[in-house]
Amino acid sequence: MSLSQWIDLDFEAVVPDDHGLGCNMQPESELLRAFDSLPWYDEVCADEMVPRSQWRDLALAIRADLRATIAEIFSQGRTSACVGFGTAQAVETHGNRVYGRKNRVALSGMSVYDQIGSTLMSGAYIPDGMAFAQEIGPLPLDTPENRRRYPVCFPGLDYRWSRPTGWKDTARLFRVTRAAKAQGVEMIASALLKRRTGIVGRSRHCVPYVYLDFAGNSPVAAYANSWSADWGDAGFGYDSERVFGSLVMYVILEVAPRPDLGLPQLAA
Amino acid sequence: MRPLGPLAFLAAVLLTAAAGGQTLKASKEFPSSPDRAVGVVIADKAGGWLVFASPSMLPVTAEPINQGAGIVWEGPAGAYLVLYFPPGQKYPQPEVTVKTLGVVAPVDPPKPPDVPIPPPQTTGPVAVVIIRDAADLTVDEAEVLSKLRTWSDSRQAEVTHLEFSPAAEDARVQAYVAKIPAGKPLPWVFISRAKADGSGAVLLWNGPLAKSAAEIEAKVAEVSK
Repeated sequence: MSLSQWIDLDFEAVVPDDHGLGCNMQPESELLRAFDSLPWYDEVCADEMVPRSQWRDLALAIRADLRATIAEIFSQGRTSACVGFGTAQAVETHGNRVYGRKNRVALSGMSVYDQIGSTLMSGAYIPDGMAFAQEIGPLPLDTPENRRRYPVCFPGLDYRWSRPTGWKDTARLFRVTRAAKAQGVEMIASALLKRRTGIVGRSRHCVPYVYLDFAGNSPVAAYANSWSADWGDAGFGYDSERVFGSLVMYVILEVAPRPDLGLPQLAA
Repeated sequence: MRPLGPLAFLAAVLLTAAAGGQTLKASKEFPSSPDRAVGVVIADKAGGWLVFASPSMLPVTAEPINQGAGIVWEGPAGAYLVLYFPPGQKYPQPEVTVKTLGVVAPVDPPKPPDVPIPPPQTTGPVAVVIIRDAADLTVDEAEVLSKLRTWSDSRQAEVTHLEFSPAAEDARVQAYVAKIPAGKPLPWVFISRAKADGSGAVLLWNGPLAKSAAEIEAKVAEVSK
């Protein structure tokens, strides 16, 4: 199956029966307010725009490395929790890139969504996903390994799960500590070539952009869709520069250093 | 007429000694302890000897050596008058020499031999810790870090890859940041490993990010032998 089959899909037209959408479009005033809460990517990364002449060689050199950092394609099921799942997938992937897969912790998309969506099927605003990831952070998914390591783990798709006291202490271990917003082909391509992840929303769906690839000589932004690995190109889809150049990407720059990273402690 | 006292007698002896022949041939001193020394005077032939401390002119206990052809004594630093009476003289006329014993400076105890201190025992995976500003990474640096992380992911039991912002609010990270030499640009790479006794970590190497991941990989292999 070739990459080009999964370029610029209209999510509303191709949504599978067993998966939902859930990205709400905000009123313009709220959108502007949310945008203003984060700096622009080219302001915090002043010298960072990668010349277009370097895109292809660099993208092809690192795309396999970057794709391998997606340990698992998330699945939001029939819910409208794509903003939560996209955010958690982006945070987890960024962690894998800076702390290695040995330190990978499976994160819960629903633990983000149930704090920003008004109902299970209401959907959520994209900026709210990143804002929540910065203010508090996603919880670890309830897996046997996570249960051994963390006092609070979020159980699967249980939207109504009652969080125990102190859950925020665990969530803050995974929070985003620095983020920015990128808009336009140059900015988004540069962010992806610098190993960044982030979330975008289009046609009522939120996806995490995870690396830059090429279809022939044309750049495409690869995303890990929260419709499971059974969908698309083993879970991945691609947006052409015509599409990704028209979007705003909420880019993760840094995540918190966790206590359990295995960092040898030097004397001060 | 009052009898001559010992000092007057000695003075008389010294006055006459100047006329004597010169048969004393050597004198030496040897440090014996921090505030004392051993004096030695040797003559051609066996004879009689007297040794006086100066200026007290008190006699000093001395031992003849070399069958009477020499005298040896030990005393504190200072001047000593040594009287030698050659044999066969009808009217003994001593030869006089003044021997000064010097002060011996205290001697420092010898330094223990340089015994190499064995490096602390380390355990667990080697950590490659990179301090970098995400906003300032160049394309080349991003590629090196991506390759390096992929390499460490393939050696999870031996190597841990960790990247941090220099502004990370974490005391463990700041301990690394503090060891970056002043004025050096980021990214800065540390290779460290936990001590086996659990008392912290050993910094095995640190330096700027190399131009290729392979250089860092080789450095990890070198320092973690």
